[in-house]
Amino acid sequence: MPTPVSVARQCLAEAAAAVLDDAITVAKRRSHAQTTSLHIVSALLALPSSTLREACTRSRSSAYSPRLQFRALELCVGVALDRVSVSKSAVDEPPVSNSLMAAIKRSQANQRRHPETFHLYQLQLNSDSLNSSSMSAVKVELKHFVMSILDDPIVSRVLGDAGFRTQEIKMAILNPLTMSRFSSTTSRPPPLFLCSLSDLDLNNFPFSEDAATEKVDENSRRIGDILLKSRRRNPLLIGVYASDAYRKFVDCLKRGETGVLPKEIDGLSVVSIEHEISECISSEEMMEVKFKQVVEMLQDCQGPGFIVNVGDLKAFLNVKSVDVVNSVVSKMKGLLINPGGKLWLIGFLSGDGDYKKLIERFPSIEMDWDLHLLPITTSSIGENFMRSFVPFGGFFTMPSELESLCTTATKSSRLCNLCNEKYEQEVSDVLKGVSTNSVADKQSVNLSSWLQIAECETSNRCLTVEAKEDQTILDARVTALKRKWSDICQRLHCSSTSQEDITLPNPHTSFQNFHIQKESANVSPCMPSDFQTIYLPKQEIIPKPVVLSTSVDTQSEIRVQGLELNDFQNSSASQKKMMSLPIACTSSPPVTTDLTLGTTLSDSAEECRRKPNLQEHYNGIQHSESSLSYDILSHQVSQSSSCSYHREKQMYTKDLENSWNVLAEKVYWQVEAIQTISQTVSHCRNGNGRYHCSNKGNVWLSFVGPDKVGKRKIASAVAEIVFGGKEHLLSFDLSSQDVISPFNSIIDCHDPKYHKMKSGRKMIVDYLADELTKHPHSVVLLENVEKADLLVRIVYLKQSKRVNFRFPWKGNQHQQQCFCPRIDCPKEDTDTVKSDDENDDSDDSEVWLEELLEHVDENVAFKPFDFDSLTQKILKKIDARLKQVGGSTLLLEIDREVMVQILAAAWLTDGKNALEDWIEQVLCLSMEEARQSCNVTSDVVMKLVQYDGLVVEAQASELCLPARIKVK
Amino acid sequence: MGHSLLEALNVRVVGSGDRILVLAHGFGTDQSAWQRILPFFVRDHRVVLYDLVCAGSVNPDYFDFRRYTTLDAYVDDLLYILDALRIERCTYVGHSISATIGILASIRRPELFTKLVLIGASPRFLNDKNYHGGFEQSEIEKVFSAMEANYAAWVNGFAPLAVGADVPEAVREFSRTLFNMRPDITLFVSRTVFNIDLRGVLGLVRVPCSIIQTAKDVSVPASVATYLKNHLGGRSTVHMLDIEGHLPTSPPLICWRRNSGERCPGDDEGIGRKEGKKSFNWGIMDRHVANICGLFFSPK
Repeated sequence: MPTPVSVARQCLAEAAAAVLDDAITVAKRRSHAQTTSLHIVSALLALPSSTLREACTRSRSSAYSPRLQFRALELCVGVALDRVSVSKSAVDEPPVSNSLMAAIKRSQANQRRHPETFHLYQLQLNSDSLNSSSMSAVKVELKHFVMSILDDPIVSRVLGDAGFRTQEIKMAILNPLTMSRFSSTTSRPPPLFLCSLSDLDLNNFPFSEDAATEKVDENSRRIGDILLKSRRRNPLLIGVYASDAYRKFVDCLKRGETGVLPKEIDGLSVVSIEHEISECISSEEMMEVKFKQVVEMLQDCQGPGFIVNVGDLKAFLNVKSVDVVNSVVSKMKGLLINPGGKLWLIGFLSGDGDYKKLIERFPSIEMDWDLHLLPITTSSIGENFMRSFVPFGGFFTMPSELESLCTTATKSSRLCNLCNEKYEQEVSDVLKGVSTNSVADKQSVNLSSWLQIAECETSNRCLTVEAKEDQTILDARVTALKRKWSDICQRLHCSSTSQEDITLPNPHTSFQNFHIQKESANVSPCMPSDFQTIYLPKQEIIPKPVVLSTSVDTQSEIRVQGLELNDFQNSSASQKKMMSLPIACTSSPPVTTDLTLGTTLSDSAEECRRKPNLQEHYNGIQHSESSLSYDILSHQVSQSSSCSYHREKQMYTKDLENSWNVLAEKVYWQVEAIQTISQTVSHCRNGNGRYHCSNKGNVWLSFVGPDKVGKRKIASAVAEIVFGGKEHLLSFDLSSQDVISPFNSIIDCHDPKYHKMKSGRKMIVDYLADELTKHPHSVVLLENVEKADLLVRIVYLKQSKRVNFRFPWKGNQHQQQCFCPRIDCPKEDTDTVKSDDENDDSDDSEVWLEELLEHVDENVAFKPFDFDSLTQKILKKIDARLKQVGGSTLLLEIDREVMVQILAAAWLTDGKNALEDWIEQVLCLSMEEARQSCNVTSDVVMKLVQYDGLVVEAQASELCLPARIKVK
Repeated sequence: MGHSLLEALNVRVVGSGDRILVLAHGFGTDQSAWQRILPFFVRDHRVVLYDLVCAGSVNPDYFDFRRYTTLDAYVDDLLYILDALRIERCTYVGHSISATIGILASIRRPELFTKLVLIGASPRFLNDKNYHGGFEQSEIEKVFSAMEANYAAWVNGFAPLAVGADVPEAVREFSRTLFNMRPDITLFVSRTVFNIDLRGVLGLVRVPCSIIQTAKDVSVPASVATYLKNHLGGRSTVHMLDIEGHLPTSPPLICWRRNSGERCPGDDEGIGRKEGKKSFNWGIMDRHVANICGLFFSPK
């Protein structure tokens, strides 16, 4: 039950209420059903100088430029907001969501708890809420409001994505004077909260990068505490989880892990007499030998000492002769009373019943061994528990139920590729509630008749799908499907070689992956390495709005409808997002000029081009044109599945030639590259590749040169040509700290492939491995290989050397170890590689790149995209059109930004005549409209500029430009 | 945290008397959960109230995600408070998670406690062979996913279940305190709670215990009370309350029961006013409250 806005507003002081109002506007504009904390953040960031912005500035990492990090933050917030589902019915004031209201309540409580803080920092506001103890009367000040908002997991996540730590931001808000969180506490103003700042563990925030991973096992910590005591210092663990905790602790010591024990006794070694104890019934001699050994060790002992682990003391209960045990106990007692206090003992019992018996039989053991009872009631943090931390990363995302169901369903499958695909297909159909003809039904043609009947029954049961599905029914259905397909798979394809490729990622592996990813993020001085790939691509294309302003002396402003970009994404309805891409008009002072239209245009364009600024834009589009940009394309050709073989064959026999030609037409500026690619692909298919194809049918190509868009277009076309569909392309951007320019975001989001990477913070390699197990017939595009961080490079290099590009690292212990150790390498080492501006090519990376390039089947050179001639072409077209519309009396000045926008659109578009159509149908019409509206017949100069502030309502077909231009 | 722990956990000592009563609230609530119980004890008890570190009323910054992975850390807090207040003997009333904390505290420091009153206690929530804790692992996972997916929805669904009775005020009150908790902390604590297993240590308890269990509790099956009685090391008794829900002490619930239950003469004045009266007449109290409060002290 969301709270009405008015109620929420009453809880807020003036400034905070204003922010809430802004947030409501944001939510309303995006047609969201509720106003959430995210909207608040968005509103706060929109203000040029807000508490949040300032705090961010002060707490931001010095590793990046502030502009970059803020840009990243805006992107992240934008992306997060885009995920919020759009409400169907427009609400005037989207009510305040429960979580936001809870945040407001928390801030009220906080404010009430810390009146002195409040007093200190809000003197000027002398609000009467100061002395009020009543909860409802507390008006939340902006600062407290922001603090609470920062507690919202979704907000911390978004901030974390942009490389901020909420905890640090909070510190910055609380300490407006402190510049660095590392400054000593004495130089700070007095602590604001009850605890001193040193008590607040900064790394301790749940959503900070490393907090989740470096959990010290609490049980082990407690054991360590007991060891430090002067008496009763030998822990006897009791409880269901005692043996678990015991093993965990002992294993840590055996591995020599540091940080488990308190500093004073760090480095304690372990002597196990577990075995001897359990055998002590039979061989007293063994016990003797062991004790002698312990005595010797004790004499030679250098470090803090050692701990004798006696294991499960239940062994004593099974002994027939009490004397044997008594002798062991007394001998052990003798050892434990050693002068240096260098010997400890640890053991466990799994239940209190056993303990009672132990004490009954050996009443003195507790005293003799100086035992400390430690009840263990929680399992040591094993993978089970750790796994529970993983969701925090994606906490509060709102994945559609279908999606999550789908992934769990597919992940758990253990089918051959072919069956898996069909199984997935059916699952998705069931989830969509579509009553399909089961593929299995067709499949069952191959089955014996009795099997067919059984199968049909299953599928019929599965297919009575109602529109509204109960989750449990769905679950059951998916399970049934899974069973069915694994049956089919076993019967039909049990010989399939690819079966082992679809290994279930066991929890342990995925945990490790998670861990690694975190580590790598730590090493990286920049934002999480997968930030670019995962989040940036999801950023909507934001065509810069275009404004047409007539140079007539009319000050009246005509508001015209904005444009909307919804269609652009060809995404599902649920993903519909409103674009803030408005077009508006400004009135500019009259301009008199005697230049003809054509000249004006080319002149201004020329001028623009000469400006370094525009060149920058070009570079932005071109994506680091100055430096060579390497991308690697790899075809994943499956050798195991017969199905793909047929399809390939079909494709080859059919219009393969034709397809390449079509591609060459579409990406007309890379004809040579396309030729090379087509040749290499067919060569490799015939087994003539330089490296990999000879073996497994995989083709490796490196795309060298600029023109990111061309590469992508070609890659997706290759996927279509070779595997029959664009969906067979997997794109990965390996650059870990790419400069985020709006143009990149335009380009990135243009590729719908990139939207697949929304699942969370997986490492690229894991994601890739996952995807490849699901879709083994794929073209993989690895962009910015030269910018890949060290870890990724190693893995890819390994893979390329491995010849077989079947990505075996998932679930392959050996492979994991291959790159785990590298994480431990000194920070400087990785830093040098990563601090790549233009010249990151330290020796290391150059060597690496060369090595990689040697191992591909072909290097394909890409030419830079010729923006100059495209500009000329566009201008000529516009010129010609304008002449038709307005003759020589009409002049059009195109703003530089707009021109860049148009160029980018032209570069990106797949539609052959899309730009021409746009010029004709959008630009010219608008100019006509503008001319009529100002009703001037004499010479007119119009200006096309971009406008931020209105919502773009429609996207031109096949073109990343607004479908309407606003006339002012 | 040092001395400030008392402030951080909003420790309050109210009432006067020789006997000391510690009231520890359960999961998802805070010390306000005792507000209807409190009046009956302040006259002749020093009542210690505090909030668990995970409560919404505590500054979430205090919640150390590394420390509070087991209930032992909560036990540390409780013992610290008792020591800081120089309490040598006390009766401890713990609800839900706090009942478990009390059990563990009494194992560590048996001399501190004269008696434990365990309301809605469970040594383990998950079923096991030969043990019925009420939950299957898979169910729990579903609950956790639900919490992760949509906390608000989970709270709105869970609160009525936990309250049990159809008392909107009680549901609202529980939702309020639940919403006060930071969602990630709620999830974390839930996981901690579902991870515990006290079965192997119950025998170590020496302190006498009163186990109070409602007839129908969504979190704790009635059989658990019997299990506790049979396995706790000290003298223990079970008191079944003929009501529903995991929150028998919920203030609105008590109010409601008082209003809907049998009325005794003189009850119209309301509980709050009774405080000032010199003689405390148990007869005019609501039967339910009398039940609960009486049970805190019944077996000597």
